[in-house]
Amino acid sequence: MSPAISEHEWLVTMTLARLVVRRILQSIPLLFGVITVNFLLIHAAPGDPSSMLLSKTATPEFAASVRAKFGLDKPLYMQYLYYMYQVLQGDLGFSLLRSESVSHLILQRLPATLLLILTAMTIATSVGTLLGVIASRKPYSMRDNATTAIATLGVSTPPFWLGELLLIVFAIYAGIFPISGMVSIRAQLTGFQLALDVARHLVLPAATLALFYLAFITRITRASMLEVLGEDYITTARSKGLTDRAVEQRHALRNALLPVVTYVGFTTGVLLGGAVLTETVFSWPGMGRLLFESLGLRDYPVLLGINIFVSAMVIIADLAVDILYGILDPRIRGGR
Amino acid sequence: MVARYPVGYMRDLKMEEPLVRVANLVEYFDIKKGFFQRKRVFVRAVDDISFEIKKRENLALVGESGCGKTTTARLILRLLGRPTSGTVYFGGKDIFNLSDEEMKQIRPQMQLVSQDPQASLNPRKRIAQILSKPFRLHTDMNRGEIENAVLDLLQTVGLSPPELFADRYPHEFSGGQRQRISIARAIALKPSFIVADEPVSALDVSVRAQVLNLLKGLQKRLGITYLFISHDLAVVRSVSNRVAVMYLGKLVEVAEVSKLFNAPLHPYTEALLSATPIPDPERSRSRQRVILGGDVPSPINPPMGCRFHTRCTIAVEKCKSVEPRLTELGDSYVACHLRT
Amino acid sequence: MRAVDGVNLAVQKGELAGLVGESGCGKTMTAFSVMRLVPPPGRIVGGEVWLDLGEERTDLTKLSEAEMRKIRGAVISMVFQDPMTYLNPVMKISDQVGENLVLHQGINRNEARKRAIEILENVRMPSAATVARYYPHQLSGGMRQRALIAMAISCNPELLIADEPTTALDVTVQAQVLQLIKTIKQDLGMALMLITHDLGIVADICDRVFVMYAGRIVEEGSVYDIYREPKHPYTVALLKSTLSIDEFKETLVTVEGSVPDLTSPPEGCRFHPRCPFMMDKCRTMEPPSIEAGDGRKVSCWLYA
Repeated sequence: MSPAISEHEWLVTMTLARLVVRRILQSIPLLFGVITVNFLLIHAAPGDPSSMLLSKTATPEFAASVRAKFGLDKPLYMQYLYYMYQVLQGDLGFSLLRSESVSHLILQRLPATLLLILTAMTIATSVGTLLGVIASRKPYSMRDNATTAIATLGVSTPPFWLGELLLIVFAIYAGIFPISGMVSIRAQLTGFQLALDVARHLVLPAATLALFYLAFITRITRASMLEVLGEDYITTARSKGLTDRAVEQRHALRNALLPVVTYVGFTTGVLLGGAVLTETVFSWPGMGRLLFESLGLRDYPVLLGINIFVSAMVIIADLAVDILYGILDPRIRGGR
Repeated sequence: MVARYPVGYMRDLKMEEPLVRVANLVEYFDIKKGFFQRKRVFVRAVDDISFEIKKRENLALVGESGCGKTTTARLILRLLGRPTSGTVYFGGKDIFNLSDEEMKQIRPQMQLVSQDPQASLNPRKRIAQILSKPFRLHTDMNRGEIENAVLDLLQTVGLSPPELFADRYPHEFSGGQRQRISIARAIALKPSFIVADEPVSALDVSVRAQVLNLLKGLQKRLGITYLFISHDLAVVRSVSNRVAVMYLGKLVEVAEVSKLFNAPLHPYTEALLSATPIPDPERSRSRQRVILGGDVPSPINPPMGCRFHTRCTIAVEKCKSVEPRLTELGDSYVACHLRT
Repeated sequence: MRAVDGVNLAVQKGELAGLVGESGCGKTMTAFSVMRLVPPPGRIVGGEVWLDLGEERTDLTKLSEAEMRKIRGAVISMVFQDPMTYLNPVMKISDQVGENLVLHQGINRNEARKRAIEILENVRMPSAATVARYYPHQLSGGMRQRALIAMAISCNPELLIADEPTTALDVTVQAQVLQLIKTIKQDLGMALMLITHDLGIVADICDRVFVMYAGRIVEEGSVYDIYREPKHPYTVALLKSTLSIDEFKETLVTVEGSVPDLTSPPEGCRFHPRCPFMMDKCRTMEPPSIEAGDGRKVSCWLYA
């Protein structure tokens, strides 16, 4: 005999699997939307894209043949379909000024960005949540106010300013860390030596990025913890005779971390498109720098390609966060 | 539309036209179930109920959570749009099929006093502003006249001297006073019908009497008709004239108040009364108790036959398959196979 | 502001004491004080809480926090008002019920889970084994309250404090829970303190009644005595204004005025501004607790 279930059962109930499938299915039209917007952006500019490829001295016949080659003489909807077909195959076009396909460029730069942001976010998350929890233990105490002040400072400091500062202090004056790049090109190192070298180069940019997001995460964690600690079930936990630490770890944390998870997941998704400012300051060979360079060079296909890539990454990150949330919070999953 | 009333209702009609008549009211709420469900699932909040409210009477609609009483009240006040089926008559007119002109006339006649006085009064407005709004919206009285009307209202609900109250904000008052202000707002345009939805549940015991006395007084002086929603039978006993008991979207008993409390007909009514504590240790502990097992079943999938049969102490075979209709028994109405 | 100002009460083993009062009278704070769970910045400023276990008497106010933690959940437990918000939404029922056992009896998690199911059966939870694996939002109101009660009795405490345990429940479910509380008292022989504003519940299951007003206990006695012959004017007024399904009251009695603001309570007897029997004395001198025979105590100059 199954027991009478509460009112919540009367509302939407989904198992975790159905949640996942549903979210994936929702993401698909979103992706199509992004690609469509991209397409419209390409064609929104005056003239057609072929004008980027042709010089002023091109003959009309040549121009026509170029257009035909890129299908620009076909009606718009056909171009749209063709574009969609291309994108879904992974072909994001060809760079104007570098002799490589956009997708190749992106894939080339991706590992560097991944290294940077994953390192930075791991540090930011672990240190940030720790600081946030510590601050929440005695709200408005000296410790808390100090932490909050530093966090506010961190949030208000633009990464490029901070990056430059760190660069000046630690790389130029102190000479501890290299000034730019990911590897010391001239040294031609391999294996373990290479890894060490990369690590040395990684410190400053990762620190810059980490400090920035650490500030946000600290604030979110602190606010979330304070809210959770005011909930009734914390009183229940205390009435069982649990120590404050046990209450914090076993009851409060699990609930308080939910908004933090959302924030971290989403931010990581966005950052997958490259931490533009930081990479630029440190000349880190990632997607962010690719974006920055292409902006300056007016390399439209690359810009648009990055646009699609970043959008896709954000959609995926969103999806991952939703699924993770469903795993952590049984209420989202629904009832049996 | 054919009104499928139980026999007996027609007889009452001849005596005096009821102010409010609910006819075969049905309200189902749609619940969408995920991506892959074919069947549509409904919450059967109100499932074919019919009753009347006579002029100047206080009819209590009682039941536990999920029985449909709040939904019924909202439907009557036209707050949920058209019901899934059935209708409500006010002064003989179908309130879901009114002309604009008729609507303008009827709207101010039906008012609501709800449970939480804190939520229903705008905390940023002064009492005078709150109370003058109905006049500003529906009449063409000038400022002076409205001011006087507002002071009059405060006097009527016992908030005296009224000048002291008019200039303040809701948060400066106690729960009982706020509820009286809510009532003042409701009676501003001299309505003939008020739906009181748990009007004293949020108030302290010693304060409840103030509000209840006020409601009873207004019933006498202004001839107001009430639909009194309550889960607390003790309040109903001293306030209402007739009582309608709901369970899982259905009416199970309708009776005059002393009959219902002294000689309940439906086993659910008996159980409700039995479960309600009596503030007298001797009476409370010496009476026969019927303690129902289990929880209220889900209105998505109500039991077959009589909806109460799963928890009923006297259920028989028939109760599991055949739904009892609300039938007349003397002056009361009951929906139970074993009583009719 | 003194939420609780000079409260004296005693609960015996096997006795169900009811602490009755309206909102803001300090009854919940009294309960929190016994458990020493008063939320900061509040704190206990005076008085004692004696726990008498026969062989030893301890003043709970003098214990260290660590010693107090041993008492909470194991010797004195509390059941709260709203079962939905007082249960951790992301923890299974079995884990929450078993937590006390792991903490105070040192058994491991698996063993605790099994014991939790037993306890849930003791509180008549339907399909206890299945429900144990559920989360709070999957349970109905009545079931959640049973879970809270199961949690509280898991270590067989000497005293169980129930703060408005049925206020958020439907009346038929309330009847079940109250009966459960009565059964627990009989089966486990513990002392129970029931906090409520509902005089019907008190009449139904309490043995002894303490009436509270504005942070003070104004009257005390056996449940039959108090209802048959209330002495303090506040008790009289409270009983008069309480409605019953048993009788029709034409005009309902109210108590004039409202509960005093505890940041500046009235001088003398706190009830004097609203008391129909007020004398001059009441304005300036606070009445002590006066014995009125038969284990009854009243704080009113009428009985001096």
